[in-house]
Amino acid sequence: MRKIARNLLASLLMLTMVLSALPALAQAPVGTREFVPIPEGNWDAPYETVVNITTVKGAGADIVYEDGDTHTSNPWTRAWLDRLGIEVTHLWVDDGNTQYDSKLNMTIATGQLPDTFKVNYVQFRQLMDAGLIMDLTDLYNEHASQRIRDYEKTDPDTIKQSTVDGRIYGIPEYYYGIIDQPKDLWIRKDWYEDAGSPALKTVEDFENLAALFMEKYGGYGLAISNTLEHLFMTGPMFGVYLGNPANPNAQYFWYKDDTGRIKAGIAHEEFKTALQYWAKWYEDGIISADFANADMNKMIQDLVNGKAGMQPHYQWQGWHVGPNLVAAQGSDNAYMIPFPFPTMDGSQVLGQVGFPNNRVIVIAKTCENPAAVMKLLSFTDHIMFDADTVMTEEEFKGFTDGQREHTPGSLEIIDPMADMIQFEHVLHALKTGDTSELFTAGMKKKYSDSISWINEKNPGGLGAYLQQGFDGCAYDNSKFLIDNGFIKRTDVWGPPPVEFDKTINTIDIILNGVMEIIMGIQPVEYYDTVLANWYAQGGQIMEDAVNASYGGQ
Amino acid sequence: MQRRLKKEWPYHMLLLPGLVLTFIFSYLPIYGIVMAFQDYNPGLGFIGSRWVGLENFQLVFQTPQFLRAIFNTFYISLFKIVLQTLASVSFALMLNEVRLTSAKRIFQTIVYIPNFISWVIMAGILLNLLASDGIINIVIKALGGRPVQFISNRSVFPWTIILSDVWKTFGFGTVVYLASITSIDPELYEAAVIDGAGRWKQTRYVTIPLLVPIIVLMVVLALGNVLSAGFDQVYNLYSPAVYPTGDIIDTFVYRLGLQNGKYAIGTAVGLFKSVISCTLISLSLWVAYRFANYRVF
Repeated sequence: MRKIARNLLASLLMLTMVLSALPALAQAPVGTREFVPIPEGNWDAPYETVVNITTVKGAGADIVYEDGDTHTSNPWTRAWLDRLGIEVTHLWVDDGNTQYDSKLNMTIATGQLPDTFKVNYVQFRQLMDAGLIMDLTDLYNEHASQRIRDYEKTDPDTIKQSTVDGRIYGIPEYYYGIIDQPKDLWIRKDWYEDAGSPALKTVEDFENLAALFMEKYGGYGLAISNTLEHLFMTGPMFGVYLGNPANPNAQYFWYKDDTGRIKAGIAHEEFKTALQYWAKWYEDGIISADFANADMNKMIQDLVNGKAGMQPHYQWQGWHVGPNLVAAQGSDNAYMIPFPFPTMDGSQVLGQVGFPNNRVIVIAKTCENPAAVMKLLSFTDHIMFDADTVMTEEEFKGFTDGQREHTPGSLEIIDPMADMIQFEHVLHALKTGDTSELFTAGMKKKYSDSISWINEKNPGGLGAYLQQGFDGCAYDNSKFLIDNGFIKRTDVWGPPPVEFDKTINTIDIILNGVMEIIMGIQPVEYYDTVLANWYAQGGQIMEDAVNASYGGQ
Repeated sequence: MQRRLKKEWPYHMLLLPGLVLTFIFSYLPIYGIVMAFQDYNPGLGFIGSRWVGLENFQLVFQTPQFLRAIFNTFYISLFKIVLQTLASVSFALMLNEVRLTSAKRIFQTIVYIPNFISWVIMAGILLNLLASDGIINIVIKALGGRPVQFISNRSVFPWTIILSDVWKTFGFGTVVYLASITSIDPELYEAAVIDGAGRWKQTRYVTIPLLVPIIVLMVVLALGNVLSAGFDQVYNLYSPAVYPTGDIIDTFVYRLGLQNGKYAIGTAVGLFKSVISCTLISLSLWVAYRFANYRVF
């Protein structure tokens, strides 16, 4: 009996191993992978024979589906099939969108490329070197919608970054507009009002307000994380413009100094002024004594728990912190509102605008129906941004509720004027009650979300309200800067030069030195040594490369 | 042989999945080492990527940060081994003196439990305990001292790493040494008593000398992994403020290879670490065999 049981167990384990090695039983594709003649007519003319297009994508953890839908089966995929005759198959989905680049690199290494996918500029260069991606020039000009091709009128430079010898090899995913780039100083609304809503023009005003908050509510003044991403956002207060150390593709912000040479913000003289103030803030307790240990989650936790009342952040702060803060504090007034950064002398602060495009959409040479990709991109633009789009309320909700406007993933292309236009119409509708000019899905969504906060205090709508819902919202602050030319635009309007690949972890030198100065371990003068080390260990290579590539612009 | 195989084939079947997995995931990927000598392009693969020889190694070894990471790795690992051994042996000796068996088992369990807690959880606990307003600093301030930045001060950070790891893992060593102590022949203690030895002299002249071979064995085996200073622990506790003293080879490679996508350079560093580790492990096994008669096969 024991022998039988033993043999049975061994056989079962063997069978399990064999079965686990078999490929998953996936549903067979409906569409054909063979070439199908391109339908006559506009971009929205459907294929008579259903074609299959493969892709991959990263999907945010905040996307919510209903009625059993998934990332790979939802209103978008059904619309693509029903309206265009295109079946989209996802080879994989990076749920949470934290490993997309790593997974894509592995996919590229296997040689089994999906038909279409988004790549960063390093991957774009590698794929070009390997000769794996298609020349899209004719496809783009003949089969992409006019609306997509008109994006170049807004931003003629970005598509050049994926154009080689006059031929387009990658279509930028674009962005929601530079209106989303300037950052703000976010302050607890209830605390600010209790303090008498003081003026916030100078750095001294900021320090006084921080001291007042600390005295009244305890804790510290300004919430930042240990990557220094948020602290660097305060650079414009001191006339210096800095990158995001936490983003490997945008660690430095490059612009010209007085001599016309392009330098990273950390190499400009004004950076030492910022260091002086940051060190003083640390000593005064405005920056937490434990900031070096605070990751993003800890930073948010401190805000939600009322340990700090101010934070430098992006225009989407309302989604990031707002709902949790309101819930934790038990008050509908306990959210944070955006203010322009004050400056040392009270003069006008400049909004920082970096190269906004992170990825390009490419098509593998093995794709038999690349025109289908153009149709899919045009469809996304049509649904989300086209004023002439007509759809039912149910369709609208299907495409946009639960952050599903990001479901297209690699097939998502963004109108670079989207948010500027959207903001103007949404704010008008909220002020007047006239919703007749909310003609895109994006506008309707931001309006309905804002209304849900205003009328029902639904925390899910707070983010939209703080971004676009009132005079003094985040986009209002940004629009003022853009309309009046109060902008500091990077002089490196494109991806980092390839020479950057010869450098190793140069940002670590800066971060370590900056932290030691802030914490008082080293004096501000020590930064000269830090900078010299940075130049010696790769900074010079990077600076020479950006001047060679972009210095003539 | 055939009769034996017929009798034992279920055991071989039980082993087979593990062997196959080890071959697929540990041996086959060895080919990827070639990446360390290439300007690796995922699009071109291993065959098509440009051969650059030792260029990646040169680039890394010219980086002061990497050389510092090597020093930090050795520094942290060696002190961990020394202090862990001292703590484990001391606690085992003290536990051996406890007469009540149930109490002995309770203490043994209590010190062994932290060994099973993930460093992700432990790091969260430590960050709270050691914060400026954490319980440790509250006590320090109450005693008239100044708060200590245990996690963000580069001088203190390595010792935070070392001591917290010793606290977490000394329980495992205690179990091993206690087992070794209990296997000592009681007649030796009886002879010592007859010669007039008290508890301390019995410990000093009987217990410790007989414990030396197992101590040597444990230390030597630990030395073979000296280049693994504890990625989980360091990664969850460190920050840019402590890179000069807290950055180890594994965290350096993680930032370089995975976060910044420089796979070829990351592979070069990993290969360097593997070669050194392989040498150290082989040496430690030879020393273990030579001095403690311990053999793997």
